[in-house]
Formats: sequence, C-alpha cells, structure tokens
Amino acid sequence: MLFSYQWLKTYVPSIPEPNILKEELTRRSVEVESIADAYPLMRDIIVAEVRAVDRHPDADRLVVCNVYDGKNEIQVVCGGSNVRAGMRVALAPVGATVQWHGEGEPIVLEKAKIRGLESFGMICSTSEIGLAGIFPPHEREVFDLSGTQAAPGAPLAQALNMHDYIVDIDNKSMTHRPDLFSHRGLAREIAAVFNLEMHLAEVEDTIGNVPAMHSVVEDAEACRRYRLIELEVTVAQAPEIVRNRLQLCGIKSINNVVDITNYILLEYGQPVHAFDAEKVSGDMIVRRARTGEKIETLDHETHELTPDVLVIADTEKPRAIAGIIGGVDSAITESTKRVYLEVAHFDAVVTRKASQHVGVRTDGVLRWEKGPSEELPTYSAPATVELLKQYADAKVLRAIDVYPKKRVQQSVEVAQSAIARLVGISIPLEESAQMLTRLGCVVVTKKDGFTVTPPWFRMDLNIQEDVIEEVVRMYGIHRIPEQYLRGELRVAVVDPEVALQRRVREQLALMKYSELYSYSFYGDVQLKRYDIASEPHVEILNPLSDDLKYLRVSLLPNMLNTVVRNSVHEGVLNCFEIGHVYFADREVRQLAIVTTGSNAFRRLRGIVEQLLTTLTVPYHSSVVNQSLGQSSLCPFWQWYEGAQALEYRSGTEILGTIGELAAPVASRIKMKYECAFATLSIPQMVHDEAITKTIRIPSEFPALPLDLSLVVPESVAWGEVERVARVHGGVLLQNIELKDIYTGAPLEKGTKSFLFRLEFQAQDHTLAMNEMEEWRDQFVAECSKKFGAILRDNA
Amino acid sequence: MKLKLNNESLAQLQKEIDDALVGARTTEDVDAVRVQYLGRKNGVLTEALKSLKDLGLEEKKVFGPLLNDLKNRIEEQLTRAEHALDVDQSAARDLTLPGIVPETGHLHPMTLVQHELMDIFRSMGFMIVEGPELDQEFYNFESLNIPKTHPARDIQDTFFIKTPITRKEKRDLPKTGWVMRTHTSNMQVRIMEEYGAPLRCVVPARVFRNESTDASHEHTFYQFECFVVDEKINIGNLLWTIQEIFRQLYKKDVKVRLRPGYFPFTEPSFEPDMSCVFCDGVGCRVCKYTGWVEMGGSGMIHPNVFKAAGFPEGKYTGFAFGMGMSRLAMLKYGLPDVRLFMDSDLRILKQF
Repeated sequence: MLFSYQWLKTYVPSIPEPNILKEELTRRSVEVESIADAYPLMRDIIVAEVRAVDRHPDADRLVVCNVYDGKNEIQVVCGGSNVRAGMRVALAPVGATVQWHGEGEPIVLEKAKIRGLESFGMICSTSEIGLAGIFPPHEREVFDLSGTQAAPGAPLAQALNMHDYIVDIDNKSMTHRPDLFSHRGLAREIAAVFNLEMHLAEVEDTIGNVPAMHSVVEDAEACRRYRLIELEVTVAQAPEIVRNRLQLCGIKSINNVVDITNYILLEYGQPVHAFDAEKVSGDMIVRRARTGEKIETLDHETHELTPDVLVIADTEKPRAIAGIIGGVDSAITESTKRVYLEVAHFDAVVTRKASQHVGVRTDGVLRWEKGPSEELPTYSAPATVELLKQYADAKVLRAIDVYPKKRVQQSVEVAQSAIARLVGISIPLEESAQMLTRLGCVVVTKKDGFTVTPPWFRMDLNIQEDVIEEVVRMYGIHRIPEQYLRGELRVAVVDPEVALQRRVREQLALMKYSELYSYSFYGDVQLKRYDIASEPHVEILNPLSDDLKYLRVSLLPNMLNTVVRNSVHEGVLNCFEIGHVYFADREVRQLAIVTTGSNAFRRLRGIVEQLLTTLTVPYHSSVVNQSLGQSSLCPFWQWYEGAQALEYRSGTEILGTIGELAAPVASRIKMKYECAFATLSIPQMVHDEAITKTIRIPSEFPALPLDLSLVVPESVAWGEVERVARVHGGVLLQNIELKDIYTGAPLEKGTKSFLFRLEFQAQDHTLAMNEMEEWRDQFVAECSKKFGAILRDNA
Repeated sequence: MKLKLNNESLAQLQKEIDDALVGARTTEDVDAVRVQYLGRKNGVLTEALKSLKDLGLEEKKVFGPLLNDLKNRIEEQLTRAEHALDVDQSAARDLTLPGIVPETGHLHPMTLVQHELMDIFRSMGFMIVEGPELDQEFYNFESLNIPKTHPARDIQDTFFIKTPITRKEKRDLPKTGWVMRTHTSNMQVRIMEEYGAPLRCVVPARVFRNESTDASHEHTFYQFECFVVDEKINIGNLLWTIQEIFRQLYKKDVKVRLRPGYFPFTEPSFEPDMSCVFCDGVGCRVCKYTGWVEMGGSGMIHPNVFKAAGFPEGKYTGFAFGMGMSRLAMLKYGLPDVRLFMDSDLRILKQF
C-alpha cells in the first residue's frame, strides 16, 4: 500500500526522516519497500514568465515565446493554445526530465529545432510533469501559474508547496494488521515505534441525532455492522488536497462525494460506499444474492450471482456487491442530490470468497479480507460526514446503525516468566508495560505479569504469545543475543530411506551416471505415449494444465522424455532419478536408471548388480517372460521389449526389474538409441540391506584359469550354463567371465558356442592339475547331459 | 634355459622380469630383457610356448592360457618401460597439452545442496526426514493453525486430490481431504506425534504450489524446514541456529537479523535476513543493494500447533525455520532461473 509521508506527518509532526523511517519501521513493524519522491517529474521544473509571444512563421499551431527564467530571456517554441504574454508558466529547461503528454518513459529535454526555430526548453502542461490527476489539463493548454505568487526561477514544487514522499509498504508484511491499511493506523504505529507525540483527534459522533431510517440485515454474521446515513449533497470537484492525496496513493479522482469515500478509505482503512438515493427504491437490505440474480457493476461488467455472494439490495434488485463494488445504476453522478452513505463491517471470509466468485478485487476487498474491527465505523462514519459537510455541502437527513453485537476487546493475561522463557532474556516488567501502553493497550501490572487489554483497532492480540511478539518487536529484536541450543545429546534419527538414497546417488555418480529430476505429474499425452491406463493414477482436482493432472506411478515416463530431449545434444547417456511414485493406498520412493547406446542391457545389469553389492543388498535374479504366462507385479509389460524382464528379488520380495525399452514405445517417444531401464524400490532395498558383508580373503595360493568353449543349442541361455558351473564349482570356483558368444561356421546351424574363462583357487593348497581336469570333465558331462553341450577343442 | 612348467616357476619368471626392468636404464637394457625372454630364437618364454605342443591335451588346457597371459603381460610391461625411457630422453615433453578429462557422473545441484544441509543439521543433532508429498489437509493446514477459511487454502495455491485416497494413517481423520503438500511444514505435527519431545528435526523435500511457472516460480520446488521443541526453547536459540546454518553453509561469519513477520503457525513470527555473503554487505544485485538477503520464514511454534500434536498445554516451546532450497541453490550457484532445476538439461547438470 502507498502512503503519503506528508499526510502521515500531519498526525505525527516529528516523524523521522525517510531513510530512518524505512530502516526502523522495517526492523520493528512492517516492511517498507521504498520511500520515494512523490513528484519526480517536478524536480527540474521552474516557474517562468512569458514576456512575448509571436506566431511561428511556419506552423499554425505553434508560437514562439520569449520566456524569462529568473536570469535570462530564452526562446521557447510552444504548442499551448492558452499561452499569452505576462503568463506565469512551468518551464522545463534543457536537461530537465519530462514525460511527453504524460505517457511513456520520461525523457531528458535537449535543445531542439522545431520547424526551423530553436527552442531552449518546454512550457509544460500538467500531464508532462505528472500533475494531471490534481490539475486536469484542458486540451492543448499549458499549466497556467498566474495565480501563484512565485517569482520566475523558483522551483515549481516550492511555488505549489508540493513536497512529499510516497511510502510503499509491502502488504504481505501487514496481512495480520488490518489497522495498518490506513494513514491513521500507520501513523499510530510510527508514533509507538519511535515513541513520538501524535495528533489523532477523533470527530465527534453526532450522526445519531437525526430521524432514524430503516434497513434490514438478513445475514448478521456476514455483516456484523451496518451504518447507513442519508445525506443531501452537492456534487462537484473535490478540493485540491483530497485530489492530491488520492493521486499520491494511486486512486483516480472522480467527484467530491466519491473522492471523499476513497479519502476515508485511505485515512481510516474503512471502505465506504455511496448510493445515489434517487436511484434506489425502498429500504436497503443486506442479504445473500439469489441464484441467477445479476448486477452490472461500476466497471461495467455484469456478474451473475449466487448465494455465496453478499449483496446490498433495495426492494428491486442488488445495488452493490457487499464490500466489493457498487452497481452502475446507483452510482454517484453530477446530478446526484441525495446519497445513502454506507459505513459498514463485512466478514473477511465472505468478502474474500465473493470477490473470488465474481473475479473482482478492489481496495475494499483488500481491507475486508484482513478483518478490521467492527468498531471502525464508530470513528470513520462521523469523519466521512464531516468531510462531506465541508466539501459537498452535505446535510444529514436520516441515519441508522445496525450493530447488535458490540465488539468488546478481550484482555490477555501475560506472565513475566513466559516472556523470559520465550525471548531468552529478561525484559523489565515496567519496560514491557510501557511499550504496550505506547501501542494503545491498557496494561494493568501485577506482581508476576500483567493484564493487557488491546485497543479497539487491534484484532491480532488474542493470546499471550501475541502480546509477547509486541513486546519483542518494540524492545528491538536485534537486542536479543543468540544462544546455543542446549539439551540432551541424542543421536539423530535419519530416515533410513533418506540415508540409503544418498548412498545410491553417490554410488551411481561414481559409476558415471548423472542424476535427473522430473515432475511428479503427467497427462493423457504421456499415458498414450507409454500405453498406460489412467486407472491406477491418482488425479489432481485442479491441475495447472491437462498435461499435469495425474500423479506418476513410475518415474520412467517423464524421465525417458528427459532422456530423449537430452539425447539431441548428448548422444548416448547414462542417468538416474530418485523420486516418489503415488498410489491411492501408498506412496513409495523409487529409483529408476536409464542407459542408452550399444550393449545397454548388459551394461545396466552390471550397474544394478554392482549397486546392490555395494549397498550390501543380497539379491538373486530371474527372467520373467510375460508371454510365457509368467506373472510379476510389474504392470507395465508394454515397456519391456519381448515382454521380458530380469527381475531382482531379495528373499521373496521384488527389489526391481531391468528391461530393454520396447520398440513401439521407443518409436513413439523418438528414442533413437538402444535403451535399457531399471526400476528399483528404495524401501525394499532398505528392508533387505545387510548389516554385515562377507569379504573374500585373497588366497596365498595361485589362481588357475581355465578357458572353455562350449557348443550348445541356440536355445540354451548363458544363465543356465553359468548356474551349472556355479553349482558344480563349489568353493574353488572364484569367477566366471563370459568372453564371447559365437555362431556360424564351422559350428553346426542351430548351435552357438560360449567362450568363457573360469578361475579356480583354493585357500589351503596349490591346485593340482588333476583336480582341475576332474572338475572340468564332470562339468562338461553335466552340460552335455542337460543341454547336449559339446566341448570345443580350442587348443 | 628351459622353463619347468609349474605354477611356482611361472611366478618366479614374472619376478625375474620385474627385477630386470627395474634395473633398466636405457632402451638397450629393455631390449636385452625382451631378447632374453621373448626372443624368437632362445627366449625363455618363447621356448616354453613352443614346448606346449609336446604336452598332453590336459596339460595344454591348463598351461596354454597361463603362458599366454604371462606373455601378454610381459609384452605390455616392456612396451611401457620402453616408452617411459623414450619420453625421458626426448626433449619433446609438453606439459601444456590438455588433460584427458575422465568421464564422471553428476549429482543434481539440488541434491548437492540437500546433502550439504543434511551434513550440517546432522552435526547439530537434528533428525532428518522427508515425509509424504501427498498428504492430508490436516497436516498441511489445520494442524498448523491454518483454518479452512484462511487465504492460504485458496484453491489457486494448492493442488487438491480428486481420487479417493485409501492410505492407512496412524491418526483417524476420516473427513480430511488430500493435497500435494504446499510446504515442508506438513511434517511438524506428524513428527511431534511420532517422536514426542524434545525434538530437533529437519525436513529437506519436494513441495508443490498451484502456480504458473516463470523465472522465479515453479509448481514443483524444494524447501527445507527445521524445528526444535523442548521445554525452554527461545528466540535466542532460533537466532543462533539460523545463523549457524548459514555460517556453515557459506563458511563466513554471516549475520542474521530477524524482522517481524507473520505466519499462522508461529507466534512471534520473524523474517530472517542474512547479511549478503556475495558483497559482504556493501551492496550488490543479489541483495538489491540493501546488504541483506531475505531467507525464508521463522518463528516460535504457535501453541495451537502443539495442541494439534496433543502436547500438554504450556509444557513446551519451540521454533521453526524454513526456506526454499531452490532459492538457496540458486544463490549458491548463481542460477538465474528456478525452472532449470526441473528442466534437467545435462549441459547444465554436467557442470555440477
């Protein structure tokens, strides 16, 4: 919200300098965004006297003036229709900053040639120096200062006696302080913070001394107070001071009645509405709108209403959306003679919801949604009437104040020990009491604390902690010293999944995999691309877009999209992501790993197994083939090439799976490379993680390699051969390494050979040749029995 | 010299060659070793390989691979030794040649910041949890003194869930709806219920806001929130903790100032500002020439939050401090756009 520094100063005469005000207020009260010159465009402008005016020889609408700037006579070419000799004008000399016709970026004036004649400055209209709101310009007329006494050469600001700063305060920083959304409120706060004298006399409330009028409040919760005053008025232009202050605070001037309601808004924080009494029929009624009722508001928008919206209606129809905006039919116009002035209190939630419903946000809504005091009209109504009397020849005819439940401020008990406990230092009771008194509280000191009754305008002091906050900020938060945390030395619990996640990330990075993050959401496009049903998905009620309406049930769809996007510049890549996947009945952390490029599956298998080994998660793997009717919990068979996955289990539970990306999916997502992916369950890994690890002590005896080439039918999987070797190999077999798979001549068709190396080693002796031979013979015999394998002589 | 074929002799041979190469000073020395062992005529190893053909099939199978392995190994060794001497003698050494950069994996910058924070908090005795991202409105709002009518619960800020959620929860709250958590504060009451007091906890995690994205807004971003509960936790403790975290994070004597603020779940509430670590308070773009950088929100835990957790009235005090981890990462790495985090462009990620 914008405040006028000079206006505040009328209440707090010794208000600090702007820079101190900004600093201290920000530290103790609200966040001051800036305090800036209110009339930046007046800065370079001086008063000048027009000494002579001649027609421009080459332009009908221009004149050439001789202008006295207090020192010299200079030539200025001017287009103003009202320029005449002897006139005092606002002169922008060369080098001054002005705004052409009040629009666009300000520019710096230079010496110019206008239609062949030199011009050493500009005679300004009010719009060029930012004063159009206060002194509305007539078309093509320059600002006539003849009425002022100022001598040529004097700064314009001085001549007009207009010096001010605009204090801009961040609304968010006072969202809990409805009282501060007004000049009087902020002035009170400033006086309290700086401990200064203030002049805030209230206008005596004499409105009641007139005949009563009739008004009905149907919803007394939504409208806790309804003050209506009927007045005779004369509509005209508002006085300069009102127009000036409105403009400074960013409100457009309309006429005296409307301007005064807005002035009260700025002064008291009280939204006031005036109806043209001639345009409404019967009593004013505060009620819920009926479904389907319509109103055209001041902004010429027509709104269809529902009972969610509170309206002010007459016997005919809604005349205003309560607290938000008036109807256009009953607006104040130049011909208005009689007004109903509404100074009410509307409920914060009702007003906010209604504002959202009709899509209108006004200065009124801004105040109501903060929840000001029901007592406010007690002070703001007489002040409004007083201004109308002064500036609109107002005469009060009738009035009513529907206020069945008068607000009473509840007092709060505060223990001295509670202050010390929460703040960490002891603040003398007397000092605390004084600070609270400065804020307007009534403080009754007791032996071990005090009873605090907040002033009528403070709605936010309801519990002890609220009061302590006031003490703290008035005392100065910067005076509180830091204090070590003290307490039992406990070993901190780390969520085991969070801990494991970290090890996973670090291990994968070591193995040259890079981490991606992707969104938790996707939409129907993704479902289609990845051929997944919408069924298992949790859906968002109000997604940002259709592409973000489902919660992911797997990391892969979004992640694979990212992989494809990155492939454009990276080529093949290795990456992983850890994140949550969501279901109606659970939420699980998942690890997904993706690799692209040749040999993707075998490389990824190596990564997964190395990872599990490092994490000490015991595992065994098996091929699951959906087309053979082998079931698995995995619901996404359509992603696995050949409907085959390698499944990892620890015990009976599934740790995860690896597969190759199915061709149809790859083509839909434009994946150009061979691609393999794995998904693993973080909680399952945590569950199965072993505390101990078995280390193989290197034997002191030499290891013997044995290279074998085994010819088997093509249908035999390596894993089967390997299993025989391992079962058969016992403790002596240290390692099996598959070196080559060969098909083609001279092998028979339908067969292939595995070339592999076995490594044997005993812990307690040097292996003898015959031990190895014996082993090999048995192994080959077993293989030939099982798969019809033949040993190929590779000697 | 004829080599007897057994494991010991092969090991012995390897050792001999190792010794010979250690003594080699010139390429001629290396050549001599090569001739002695791998020479086409009388090389010890060459001879041994030749003799393989005289062995029985069984022995061949065993010693064939052994000898071949040894030969390959020795050849590589000799080449290396030769190369080393070669380079040594030449004047062609050029240390300005570029390094051959190894391929490495990369952790996401948010992960790096998260790990750093976890280390700091752990050293200060804070427990670390992440919690659910899809949570009950009760934990995200009501328990934090944010009633149904509060502006923070307006539909435009929160992702509400349409699908009925059937999760089993410890606390029976049949009427509550579900939302994507809008802040990490959703863990305050959950943790208090689970662990009781005293408590030191930090929650570094993913949160969601229903708002359109631009350079400084994302619907998916990261926050961390720490809170401490004990019988005598005070504002001084809050100040020390925030200050200490930033001191550890920026490895500088950072100052923190608390300004009055407002949050429903703390009372009093404070907005912490950190003295700008980028210009040491002189004024720069990061601190908008104020010398101070806004760092999230904080305050003393509101009594209604303790009440929601079922703690006895007045028994405990506590503080909470939270801020955007995304913001922290942006400050730390000078990233201009919050969307970079979720965009996952490897050209950027690989710089971490």
